[in-house]
Amino acid sequence: MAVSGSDFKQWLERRGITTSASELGRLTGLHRVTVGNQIRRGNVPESTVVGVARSVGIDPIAALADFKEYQDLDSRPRTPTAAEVLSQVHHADLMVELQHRFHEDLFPRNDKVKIDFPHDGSHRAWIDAIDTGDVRHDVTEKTGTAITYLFSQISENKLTPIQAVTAARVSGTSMVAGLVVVGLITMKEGDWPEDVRETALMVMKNEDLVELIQQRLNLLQRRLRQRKEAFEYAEKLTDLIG
Amino acid sequence: MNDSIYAISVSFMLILLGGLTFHRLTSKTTPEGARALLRPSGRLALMGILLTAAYVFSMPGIYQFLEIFVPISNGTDLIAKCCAMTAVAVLGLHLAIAYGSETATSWIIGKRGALAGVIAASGVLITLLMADTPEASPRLELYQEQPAVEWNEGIVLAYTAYVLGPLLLPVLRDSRRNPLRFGRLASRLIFVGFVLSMARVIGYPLELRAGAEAFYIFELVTHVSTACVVLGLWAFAFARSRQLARKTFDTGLSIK
Repeated sequence: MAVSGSDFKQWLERRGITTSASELGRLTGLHRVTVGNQIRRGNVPESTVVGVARSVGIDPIAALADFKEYQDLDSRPRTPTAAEVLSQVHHADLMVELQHRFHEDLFPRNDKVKIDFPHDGSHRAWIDAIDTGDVRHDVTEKTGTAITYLFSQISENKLTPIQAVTAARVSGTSMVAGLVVVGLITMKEGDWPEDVRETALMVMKNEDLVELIQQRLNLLQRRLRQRKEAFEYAEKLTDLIG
Repeated sequence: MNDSIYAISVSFMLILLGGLTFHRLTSKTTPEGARALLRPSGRLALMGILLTAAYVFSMPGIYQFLEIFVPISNGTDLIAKCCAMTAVAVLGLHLAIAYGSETATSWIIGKRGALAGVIAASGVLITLLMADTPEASPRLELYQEQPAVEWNEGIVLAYTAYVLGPLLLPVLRDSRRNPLRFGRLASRLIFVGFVLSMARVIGYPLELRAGAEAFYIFELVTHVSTACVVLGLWAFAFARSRQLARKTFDTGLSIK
């Protein structure tokens, strides 16, 4: 889902921004035909709105909040929960921290979390971190997405901004954090402190760290098994038919 | 007259021997001689040769030339149809094994499959003999309005439906479930080809009513269906040669 073309045009006019496709193309770095098509088809991606907002010096969150789909975007504190922050730490970094806690001389702690997000499985980890009950079903109901499609989007790190915001909305967490997690806005724009992941990792209790690693490894194991099964099936069939 | 009787008896013998050979080659205790059919590439090659032969024999120039040597009038059409039906049987065998469909396997190969093949080939021969076809005419186009020729064509279509019918479900299932996108596309192409073939069989009464002029329009459906199946098989071959499954479902842990 994206914002409608007419809403986008009205927003541009309200904010005193040019509505010319070529100018918008120049502002966003997109081709003018692409921007023109987005407006004409009435389906302007949130990334275009954010791109325009950034280029004219408007806060991207304030810009998105001008659209009815995101009206309540900034109605909650922007700060993410510790679980949300940790969901954006790759299990390799979690294991580095675990090693450090075993033997700090042999395994010195990283000053910075090495692997950036989104990483493989980061959308799923975030959904798991904010899930208070049935967030996936709630998102499918509210966004009109088929449940199987949403599952594959989550697995493939392809959550859309509206899905992320809806998930945060139904879970009662920061909606801005959802946009940071899907990569629509930067950590800085979402008011995430630069070292938020390192801090969350350092203050984590040992038992929580081990449990989180265990969860991630279970997911990794399941993912590897699924990939192996998919590979075996596909290869067998291509070998037999081709 | 004697020549004709000789040709008819030889044709029946060929059909019987062909059927028994097919049964022998596809039975569960496969003999050494059936190694070619055990290998997917062997089956595909055989299918390709038979299908090509069926199309080549139906080309007017070649058809007229072969008619000189064939003892029965329009016997070349019989040979072409037998080649096409055997190609369909080999394709059925190939896909039944690949998709692991027990229903399709029990219908297409072994005793039941061989019996169906023998009945269909005999039917094609008998209807050809019953028809009055003095002039050579590829696909018996000039005689389309004779009931025996209608039956002749109907038998070939019915046999195709008999082979492809049990495969529809496994192919459809794979076209939705294959984890490889290219594999899904390939199965969809094969499925479309099968559906078109089945559609022609179901629409055969309509074809009979449409008259001889519409014959080539309906033939076009068969050509498109064949092209879809062949393209689907090619897509699987492409996926195999490019090792798409290995590349897509890499189980390595590196995130570099």
